[in-house]
Amino acid sequence: MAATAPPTTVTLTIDGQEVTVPRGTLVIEAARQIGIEIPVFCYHPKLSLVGACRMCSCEIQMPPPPGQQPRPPGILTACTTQVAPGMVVNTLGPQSTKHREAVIEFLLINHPLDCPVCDAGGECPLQDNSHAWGPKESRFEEHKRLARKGAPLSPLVVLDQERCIVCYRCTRFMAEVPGQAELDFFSRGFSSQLRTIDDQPMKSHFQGNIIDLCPCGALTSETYRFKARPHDLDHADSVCAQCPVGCNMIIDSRSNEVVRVRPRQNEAVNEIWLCDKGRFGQYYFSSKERIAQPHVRQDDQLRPASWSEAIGSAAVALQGVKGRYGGQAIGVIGGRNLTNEDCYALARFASEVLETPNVDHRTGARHTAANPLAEHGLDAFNSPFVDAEGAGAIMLLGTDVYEEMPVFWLRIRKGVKNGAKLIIANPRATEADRVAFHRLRHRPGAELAVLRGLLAALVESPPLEGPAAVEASPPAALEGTQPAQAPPPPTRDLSGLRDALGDASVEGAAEACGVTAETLRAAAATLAGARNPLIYVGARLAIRADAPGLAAALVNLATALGQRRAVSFFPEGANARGAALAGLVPGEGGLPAGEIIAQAAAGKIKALYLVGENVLATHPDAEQARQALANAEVVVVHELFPTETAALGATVVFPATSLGEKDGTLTNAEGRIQTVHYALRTESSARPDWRILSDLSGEMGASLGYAAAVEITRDLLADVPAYAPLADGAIPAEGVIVRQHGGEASDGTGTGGPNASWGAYVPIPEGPALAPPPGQEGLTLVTYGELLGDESTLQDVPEVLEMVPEPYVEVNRQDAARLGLTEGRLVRLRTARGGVERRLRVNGRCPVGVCYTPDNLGRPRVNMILDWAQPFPTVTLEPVREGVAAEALAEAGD
Amino acid sequence: MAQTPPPASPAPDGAPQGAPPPAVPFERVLTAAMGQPGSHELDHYLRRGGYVGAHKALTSMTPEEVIKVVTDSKLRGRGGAGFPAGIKWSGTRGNPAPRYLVVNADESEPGTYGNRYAMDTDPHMLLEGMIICSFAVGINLAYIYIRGENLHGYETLELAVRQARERGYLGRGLFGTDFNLEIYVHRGAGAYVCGEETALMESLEGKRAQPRTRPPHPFQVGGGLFGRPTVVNNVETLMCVPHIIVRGAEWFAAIGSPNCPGPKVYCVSGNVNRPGIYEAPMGLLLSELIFGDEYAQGVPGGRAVKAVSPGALASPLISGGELEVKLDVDAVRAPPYRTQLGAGGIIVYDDSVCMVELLLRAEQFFAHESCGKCVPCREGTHWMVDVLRRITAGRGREKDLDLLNNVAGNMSGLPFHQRTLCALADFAAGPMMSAIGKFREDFDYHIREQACPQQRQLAHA
Repeated sequence: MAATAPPTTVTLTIDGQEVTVPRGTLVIEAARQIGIEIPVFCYHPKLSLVGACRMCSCEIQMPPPPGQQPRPPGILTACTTQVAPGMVVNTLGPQSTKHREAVIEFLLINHPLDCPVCDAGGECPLQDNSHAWGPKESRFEEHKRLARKGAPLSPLVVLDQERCIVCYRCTRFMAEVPGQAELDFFSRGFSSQLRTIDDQPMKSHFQGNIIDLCPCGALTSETYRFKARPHDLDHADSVCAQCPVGCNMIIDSRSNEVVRVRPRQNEAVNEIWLCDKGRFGQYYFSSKERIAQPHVRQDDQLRPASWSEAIGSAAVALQGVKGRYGGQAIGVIGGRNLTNEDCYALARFASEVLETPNVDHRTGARHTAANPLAEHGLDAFNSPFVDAEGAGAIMLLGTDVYEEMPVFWLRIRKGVKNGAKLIIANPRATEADRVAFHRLRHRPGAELAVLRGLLAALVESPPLEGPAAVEASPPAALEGTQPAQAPPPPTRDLSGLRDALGDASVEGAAEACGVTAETLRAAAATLAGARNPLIYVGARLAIRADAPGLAAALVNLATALGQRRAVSFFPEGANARGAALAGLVPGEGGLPAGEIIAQAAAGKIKALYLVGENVLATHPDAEQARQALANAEVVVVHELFPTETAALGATVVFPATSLGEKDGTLTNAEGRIQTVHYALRTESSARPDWRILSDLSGEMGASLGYAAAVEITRDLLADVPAYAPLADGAIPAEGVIVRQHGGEASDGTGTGGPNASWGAYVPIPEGPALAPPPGQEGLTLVTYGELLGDESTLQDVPEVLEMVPEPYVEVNRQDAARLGLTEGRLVRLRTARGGVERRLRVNGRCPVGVCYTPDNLGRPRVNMILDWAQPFPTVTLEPVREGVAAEALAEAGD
Repeated sequence: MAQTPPPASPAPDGAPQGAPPPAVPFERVLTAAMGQPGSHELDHYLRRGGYVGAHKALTSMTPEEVIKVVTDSKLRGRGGAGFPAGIKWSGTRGNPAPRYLVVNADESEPGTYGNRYAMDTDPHMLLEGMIICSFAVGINLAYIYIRGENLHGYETLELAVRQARERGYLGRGLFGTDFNLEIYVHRGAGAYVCGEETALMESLEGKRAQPRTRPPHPFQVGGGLFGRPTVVNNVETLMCVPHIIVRGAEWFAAIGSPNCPGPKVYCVSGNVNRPGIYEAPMGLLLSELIFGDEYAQGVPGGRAVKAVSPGALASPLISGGELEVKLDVDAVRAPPYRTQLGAGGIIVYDDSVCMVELLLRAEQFFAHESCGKCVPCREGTHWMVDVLRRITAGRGREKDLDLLNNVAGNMSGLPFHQRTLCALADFAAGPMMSAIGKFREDFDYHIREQACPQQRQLAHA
């Protein structure tokens, strides 16, 4: 066949201007490229095409077939029509403007026109388009349609059906982007109405986005409803600090109070989405519960104090400990949710003023390497988020990414939609399982065995060499087209890996992790056959005792797949990556955060400096944390809210300012440094953490000497090697990815760190046995984080609190049946340390013999019953008698 | 496209019909078995020469030859759009497998019932047509989407499919060849819009029945059922196919109108003496159909024909003075009629019918059936109902007629405008505009006298 390839671009004329665009471009996008905006309602570049509103219709004249007369221009929708060579588009032709006037008239005849009391008023596409294109007056003199008003779709989103213009943006978003079709239109035609499935409240973490997408006031936010008009609002460009994705957002405030949060477009990070914690979880900036002034302890009671008194007494106490026991006796924990500036000031304060190596931002960490991949010459996170879109396979190990980094889950899902095969290794079923290709349900704590199994399977049948390996097999052989037979590329030499693995076999690993050997082999084959495989590992695995072994196995896996950069660890905490770069990691001979608490409990650490770390709630052994606070001579706390740590143990409490009140930078999981601008004035006497540290250092005689955050930013960029490319101080609006190891982010290969033997296989150190051996009495308890946990940031917003699940424990149906327990019962989880009460969830998500409970929900936290010495404790469940009515209800629900 | 030379003595377009007598008298083939008990059984069909066409096509012809015969026969879709079946088939065959066949048996417009009787009488004729089509296009899985209310038709088809499968006419290795075909019968859930091919496929896929954007068209990848290239044909179209294969393309092309040949099943209803199903050559004169002795035999009481819907409720009206129109797809589209044949459901209204009341009922139907996806249709149909209701309630105003005409015009996309995704808006707008244009006096009377002209007539009678 000598057919010439069709040209890849198309030239057409839009409103008299010639424009050349790629084939397949939609007319509306071609027009946008030359600055011509065509009005739309249903069209959205992030969603599929429906062509429902007909607003974008233009006069479009197709070129006539050769030898024929041209047909008159037709009215076609610019949002569904692809460009064609020689096409002539007139966006303002008399027929199309007349048609648009008709569409607006049709849309408005049943719209309530209640703009003066509508939240969308002033920023409403329906309003704007009506003014621009609509008729001057209405010819409609009949009765308007009546429908549901103020109907909650969830505690967060409110529907006004009368305003709805049925553009399907909300339903398309939910079905296509997070893949949670929780709402749809019911009934037909004129009676179409938006409802949730079975009228149950929406549960998705992404429902707030439908408010942004709604082109009229039909969907409004429960927290913003009737609070302000757009022209009353002040806006600040900020970055969300609720998780390590670092979504860009705009904080809208009025009279120095947060009234709403909107996403800010950054295609590399969050596109145009926010999760509901990011959107509805920023009201704490203006919380009335915030600590308003410093406190010092006197007669075992915290009492308010002036700043000078508090600074003075903290300085004296810390100097005393340092003098008596040396800097080694001081532990500093904090930074994962602070700005880079706070982190850098804290790191300098720890090393220069306190002179302690015991610094860490990773609560509960058991080993010193903040980045377990560092010794292999890799960053903790080695690919930009966007790479997930083009991956051929994505493996998620030990993470519920939907809860951990929700907006990044949308990116992974996009990758899956683009053809990535998703492999999930997790003991428990997660949201991501719904689109998983392989599910490896392993025993808790057996991640290393899973990796060994995958590696052994790769050694058995090695992947093909080179990128041609993937292209060799055509995607789907089309009928009648015989693919040219190319010689199969050679397979990769994995002898080095065989040596590194030792005598590990797939069967042995399968036995150890509880996943069948076939599943391991199938998953390994999928990874081996994929172009650009990526492996993402949960944050909890990075701080576990066996992290070095996991890291070595993961690096081997990535190397065997030909893409050493494929492996990435999620950080725990919004700015954990920034904190690590700023130096909040254990120094020479220093202790990790978990050990700092353990040593303080043992009386070896005499002073604790806790910045935004409520260790009583977050250290995985509350009793140990309590002892630590009791035994430490000095405990200095920076906090936003009065916490149990502050109340129980603090010698001095400094009120800190929230992210909404400070300038600075944050570094997200992928290493992207982004700028935060303050949105609110601080009304109390709270100060930024860096300023408290600067003041305190001055009082202790070694002043950091900072008077403004920008000074720290400048020092940080100049001082930390990874930030060196930014030393001129200019951080672009979309942020920039920095790398600690392996050269530039865009560089595909890199050179490896100083100690790395790049490309070689590494021995896998044997980790400690974590999980209790099978066959024990009781269930193995696994804890994890819920997105909407850590309620202190949500506490002022009852609508959001309604979304927070009641503290629960999840068990498998079989275990529940064996224990005689039923869904909804209140149960007590009991270990040797005591018991906490949780509501029972019985399902098939949780594996047999295991129970799951979030460790960031409910008081007391589950860490009350955890023991630092036992990462996976065995618990018993016993029913708790509730009030008769409650029990009867529970029975009735069975 | 290779055109076969026209038949020896074609009636020139526009010449009075019936002047040159056809070489062979017209023979009913689609409704031949109507009225014969047990005609839906496989054995009955086999006795009448059933499955000979399928056997011939599969055992002695290549798929290309089958498509060529169907193309040469100039068979055009009987569902309303009149698209040449052969071109549709070859277009689909040119796209990669798997491909599907979907039979549109969602006949749900007021005034159409031809497919229902055809399926009740001769379900195997449809199955045979499907087998030939599937063989020609390279399809191994076919669906019949039947209107949900037509339970009897569903059961008849299910029985037919079972009998055909038992006899080896469906399943694996048909007629000793290596061709496989499976047919599923799927019941709709009561939406008129499912008669539109893309909405039908959405419904068949288990989704909300709403038309899709085109392109991609159903015959293309991404546009058809489950995203695969798909042939969507009407029941009657496929029932013509076995006869074309057996008797040849020339036989078919010689019947009726040269541009749109073949036998056609007309369903006549309304004010006629003998309503019912009449199979006649495509291009029969409307007056012949209404008044002919073989056909509907005139209007009861000798009343005058006031108006006719030539393509059931959705077609623009023809006035009583325009009955000398040939009933074929092209002729009714042409000026001055500018209407459509639809699926051939002819509704006759005599002079006792008030056009305002008629339009109110029609528009209520379309407003109820509008799927609501496109704004003009969702809002416009209801607006027209509201205004018509007000007029019939005696609260009409002079300006209402301009309003109705304008609203209908804002909905109607014909001929070049895609104001909506499917033709339902045109179906609602066409009768409205034609009624105001041709029967304005009924509207004026309603508005002026705040009463129905027919009430007066009744009072005077």
